[in-house]
Amino acid sequence: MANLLNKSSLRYMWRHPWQIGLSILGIAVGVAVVIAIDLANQSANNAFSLSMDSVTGKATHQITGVSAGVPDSVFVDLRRELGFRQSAPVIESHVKYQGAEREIFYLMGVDAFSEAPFRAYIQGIGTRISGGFGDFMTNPRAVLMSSDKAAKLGLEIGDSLHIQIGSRKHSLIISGMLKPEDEYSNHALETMLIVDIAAAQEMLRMDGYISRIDLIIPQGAENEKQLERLSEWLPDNLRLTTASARNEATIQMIRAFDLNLTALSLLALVVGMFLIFNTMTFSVVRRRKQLGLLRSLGVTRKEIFRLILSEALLLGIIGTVLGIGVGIFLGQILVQLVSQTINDLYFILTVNQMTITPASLIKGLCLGVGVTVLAAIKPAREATTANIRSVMNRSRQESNLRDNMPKLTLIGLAVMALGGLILLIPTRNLIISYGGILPMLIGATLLTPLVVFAAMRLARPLMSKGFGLLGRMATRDVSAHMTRTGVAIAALSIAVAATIGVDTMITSFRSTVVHWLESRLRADIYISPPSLLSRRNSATLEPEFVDDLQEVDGIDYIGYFRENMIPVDGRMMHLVASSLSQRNFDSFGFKRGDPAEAFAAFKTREGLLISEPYAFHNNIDVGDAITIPTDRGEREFEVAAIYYDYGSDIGVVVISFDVYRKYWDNHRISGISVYGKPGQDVEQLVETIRRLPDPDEEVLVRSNQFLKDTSIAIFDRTFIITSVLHILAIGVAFIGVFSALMSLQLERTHELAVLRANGLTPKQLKKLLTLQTGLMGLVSGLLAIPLGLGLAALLIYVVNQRSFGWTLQFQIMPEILLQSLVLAVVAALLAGLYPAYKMANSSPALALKEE
Amino acid sequence: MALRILILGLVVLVAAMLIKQTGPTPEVQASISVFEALSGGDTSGYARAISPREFIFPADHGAHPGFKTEWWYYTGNLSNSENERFGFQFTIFRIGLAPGADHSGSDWSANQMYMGHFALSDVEKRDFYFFERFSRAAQGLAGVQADPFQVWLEDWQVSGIEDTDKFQMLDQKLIAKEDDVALELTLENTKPIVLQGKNGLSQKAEGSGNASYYYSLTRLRASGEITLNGERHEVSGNAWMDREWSTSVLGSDQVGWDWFSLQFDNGHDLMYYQLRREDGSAHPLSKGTLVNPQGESAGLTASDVTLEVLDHWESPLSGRYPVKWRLEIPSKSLALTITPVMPEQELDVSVRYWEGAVLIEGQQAGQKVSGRGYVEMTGYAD
Repeated sequence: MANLLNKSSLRYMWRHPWQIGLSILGIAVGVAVVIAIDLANQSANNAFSLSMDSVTGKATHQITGVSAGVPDSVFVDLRRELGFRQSAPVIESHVKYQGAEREIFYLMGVDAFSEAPFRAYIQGIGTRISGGFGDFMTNPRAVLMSSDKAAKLGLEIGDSLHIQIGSRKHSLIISGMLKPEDEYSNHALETMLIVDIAAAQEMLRMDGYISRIDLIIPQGAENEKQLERLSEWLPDNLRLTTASARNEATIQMIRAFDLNLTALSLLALVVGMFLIFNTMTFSVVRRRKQLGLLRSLGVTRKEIFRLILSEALLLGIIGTVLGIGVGIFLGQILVQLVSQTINDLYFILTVNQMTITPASLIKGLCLGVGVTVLAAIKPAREATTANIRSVMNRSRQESNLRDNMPKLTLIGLAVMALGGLILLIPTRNLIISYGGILPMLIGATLLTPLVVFAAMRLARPLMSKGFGLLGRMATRDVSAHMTRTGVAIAALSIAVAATIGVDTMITSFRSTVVHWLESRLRADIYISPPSLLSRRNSATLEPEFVDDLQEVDGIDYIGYFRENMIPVDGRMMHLVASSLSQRNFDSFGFKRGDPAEAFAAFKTREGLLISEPYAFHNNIDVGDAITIPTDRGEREFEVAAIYYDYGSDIGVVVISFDVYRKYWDNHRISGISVYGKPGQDVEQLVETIRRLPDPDEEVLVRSNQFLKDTSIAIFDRTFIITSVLHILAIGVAFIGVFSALMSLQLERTHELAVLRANGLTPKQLKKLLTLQTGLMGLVSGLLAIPLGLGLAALLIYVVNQRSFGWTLQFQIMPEILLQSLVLAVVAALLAGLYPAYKMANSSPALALKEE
Repeated sequence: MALRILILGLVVLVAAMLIKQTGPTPEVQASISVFEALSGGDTSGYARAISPREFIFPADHGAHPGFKTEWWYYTGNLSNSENERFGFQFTIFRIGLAPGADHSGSDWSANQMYMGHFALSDVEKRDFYFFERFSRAAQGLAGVQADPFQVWLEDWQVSGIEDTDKFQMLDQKLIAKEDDVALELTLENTKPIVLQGKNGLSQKAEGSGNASYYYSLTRLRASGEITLNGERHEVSGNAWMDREWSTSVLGSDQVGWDWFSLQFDNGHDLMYYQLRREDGSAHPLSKGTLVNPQGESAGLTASDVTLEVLDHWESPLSGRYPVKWRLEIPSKSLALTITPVMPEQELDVSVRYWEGAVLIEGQQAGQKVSGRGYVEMTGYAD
């Protein structure tokens, strides 16, 4: 019997390829988006940990400094006085390869003799004394790189390798190749350049300092004592941390970003869920008579339930498998966008490889199949719970719905209230925040039937006036087939609302940023070394250039700033030292604190200015003290004011340059702002300054306008991925609406045939169907506007606030709303075209005969 | 039923969201290849030992960076109050990476490196410990100083003890510690410096410059302590110090050497090295020196000495080492049997070799003679 049931089920699917195909497509796209985002995130995370593996090696701990690094002598004393041999000095920097568009290498300066316990792949230099290894140590231009990477760049041993560190260009000679022994090592070493520590110190001009000392102190009681002894022995300004502490603090920066992407990808799946729900409902309704017959033939409810669920399962599996394939393809594109954004905003990362983990695929499989089965439960119950007679009677269902409408509306309101309550929880947890938004959306969709009834009632007189009988019929049809039209309208409005929400959020964000840039960027010229990151200066200017600049005529005022990333309590602190003048200061917009008072505190009392996101993430207010590690040990500084800033989502701490000089040893400059004398031709000044650097030095000298344009271009670039995602979500919704409406109309074959038989011309029929789908599109679009704006408000005031701590100015753009409305109507009309065409051209007699 | 499925579905969903990748991280592995033409392996640019020179002390206790290779070599036989026997070897090698001064753009830059070997033989327990370390000659991590004398590689060091200058060399303090093995010795000089070979020029192979400058302190009175796995031993005994620097020594027809430093109970000291040819026979440039109790030395050539191998030991790593010898010097009426205190004294370091404490028994001028010493054998491992 089960076999026969399955056969009938397959037969049904076979005969309705359009609906089944579209459902599969919908699930596939939903799963694809989730998989693609997951793969992109995972690949970025893996690339990060991979690069860290090759860099950290077997080190368990590290000694690090604050701004200048660790004095050479600390390593020497560690070895000579303490006899601590499981230690290795390292000098590190990201460098730019001169040649390709964007090829970033991680340059590591090592003492080959110290490497054996840490990075086995380097130890060979130290233990093989003969051969070319003397050259590695004695030639300050000698570099080792991965043989695979060298081959890709067309380089061989003995060739020159041109790199740029900060503003300075260097030419190295490849003295040897690292031959990776497996695929993993290949990827880990791909972006590495290994030089001798002396060469690195000279190139990076780190006279007397190294970046860090790696240590191996395995766990154990004995080693706890050793750790303690070591920390006591270390000077105050140096820190002994676990080797992964800095990496964890670094990767921490992109958690919110990751999570928001995942949430967006789930949106596509939620929309896909509506689609499945619709398809399954339809397939149940369509086979109402058949199912009723089966029931009357003795098939149990349980068997029917199982039948419907297994159909869903089949669709789910096919759609998911397809979706995984598409997702892997899509992931290749998204991983580029994700790594671009990470490089723009957070840290340097080269993602060379897509990581396709079984975990990702299983996650996609569970989600796809799980969601499909969940969506099918309601239709499956519908097919089993009702008694046989009523199952065979369709109109019964519609009247059920109408009777249940107040209940449904109340449930909707309750669900929304639940979401609201969740949102009211004072938390910074993003999962909880999204957990509140989801019920808001679902609750809103439960209100759809009520809204549709009301809208149709309102529209009826208008439609009647405009289109006569057909107009009236169209409105009544929409109401009458609420079980079908309701879902379609809800799906479409959710999708359109997502568009409105995301678009409005981005536009509000953008206009806030533009406004902020306008008021913040006041200097005529900005000078910086070429930074490997877009939002933050990772490099510093050559001191000679800074000196030369002071001699240039036509400059009224020069402002200096220095940027540092300091890990504090497992998070990265972005510390900016700035020689703010009163006029710079006036360009700040303050959220908390009296500006005049704050300026005085900043200049004379070592006061800090902190950005809004920093204050938010660390729960700090004006008057609070922040402990910052300095080169003189830890020091407390008081917060003088909180200012608006949209440049960094981890937040910024600003300290006066004079105070910085007092407590930190590395006084190199990350950037300079220049104000020309009144009447000074800025373009001419730019030209003069551009002539200052050496030929082998690259300095970016940019006018105010140019910097603004660049900043906005970067902003736009970081939102590309968001746009891509919501386009995909619309795609799913479109498929959903298309299939829902088509099913709806195809289902009415009999009814429409009756209309035809009663004298409705094919043209009139087409018009009726077009009016009807158009109306549904319009209602969806209109419903989407409040829903979308609500979503935008949640994204702006809840998600952005909680993820990044930003206050954004909510801005409603009429063109976005209009565009969305048009989108909804057009999508609906397009979806109605084929059924209208098919119905109009089919013979009513044939359709009636099917009865 | 439906509820059950709903719950199951939710569980699956939640589980799916929580799936995280875990697992051990593999190790990054790679081999290094270099282009030989770029290599600094050749010896051009370095000074060579061509003719005898005047040794000036204490200056010559210090480094001779113009030469590619140099060492400060200490070996000795010690015993504690319970007459438990120990042997030790402590060597610091200086190796030139490139001739001339370093480019000195950074305090880390170095054209010299140091290598240290420290080995201890616990005869009673038949344990052999050995350690190797390296350092660049920069930042004071490793180096040599002539006056006051000091040679060190991080916390391994030998330093002169002030105001006890006898026979042109200060008494020395040797400190070496690694893991659970530590050695701390005071070395008191008891004989004048012996210039080996021709006034200190030790020709190793045919051709001008294939030689080293070589002098020895053949008898140092040693006292101090050994700490082994937490156990302390007060020890005393005799040690030997060798100093040698060169740029090129072995010729293409030589595969290694067997080097003997023997201290007789009657106060005589004997040094003999046999340079070995491919077929195992002695090279004619093999040489030695016999030092009497007063410190007067007499040179020995290959033709003065016969060396017969009586037994072999198969290294578990590979290679077959001689481990018992009959050494005869008819012209000095000397015949000795030399036996290692144990065969397992091979150092598995970057260049594998055997260096171990030995016992000697025999006859000198009709008198029974016994003693202790050290033997080094190179060129046997693959």
